[in-house]
Amino acid sequence: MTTPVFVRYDSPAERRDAFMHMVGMRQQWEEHVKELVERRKQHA
Amino acid sequence: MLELSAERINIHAPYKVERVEANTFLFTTKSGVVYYVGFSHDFSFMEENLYQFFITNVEHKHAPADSAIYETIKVVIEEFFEQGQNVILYICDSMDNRQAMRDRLFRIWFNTCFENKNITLYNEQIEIDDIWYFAGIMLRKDNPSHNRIIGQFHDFVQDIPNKWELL
Repeated sequence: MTTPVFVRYDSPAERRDAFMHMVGMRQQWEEHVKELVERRKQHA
Repeated sequence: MLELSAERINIHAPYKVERVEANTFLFTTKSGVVYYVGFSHDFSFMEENLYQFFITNVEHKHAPADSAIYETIKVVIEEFFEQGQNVILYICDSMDNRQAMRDRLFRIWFNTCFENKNITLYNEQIEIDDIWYFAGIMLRKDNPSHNRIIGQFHDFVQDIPNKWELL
């Protein structure tokens, strides 16, 4: 791993948006998993 | 580029995992509960080498206590850290207001499975707009930027403003 590059935010609002996006990734992933489950059922 | 191997995981995992797609696996417990586990590239406070970790009981079936689940997840995490100096990020699901309990369970699991191992778990909690969020990172103790990464994560989380502070 090279020296890590940390994200710089221009404003508190941007940092908040990034945090809420991070939180929202779980729901996105779960929706994606539901699609994967359906695809597997169709191919079964 | 993160590339986890089901073959390597299955050497030690009590429940055999099946690769569903890159860095996403499923396994089925003896009670018939199917879990999906996966990692997704995250860019919230690091531009590279940061992955958010997810695990879901996809059908939300009742899952009796089963140490083999925790051991399987442990092996998946170990495989992750074998791939280099990447960092895991996790956030406890807060949709049903049980995030504090999940955070406690996660820390108990970590302390049980990774005692005397070379991995650090660092937690943060923050109240934003009346909701408590519990988040943490895991990284190898021999990461040359270990303390810097923890410091950056701390700063990233603790400087999040509430909605009314933005007005």
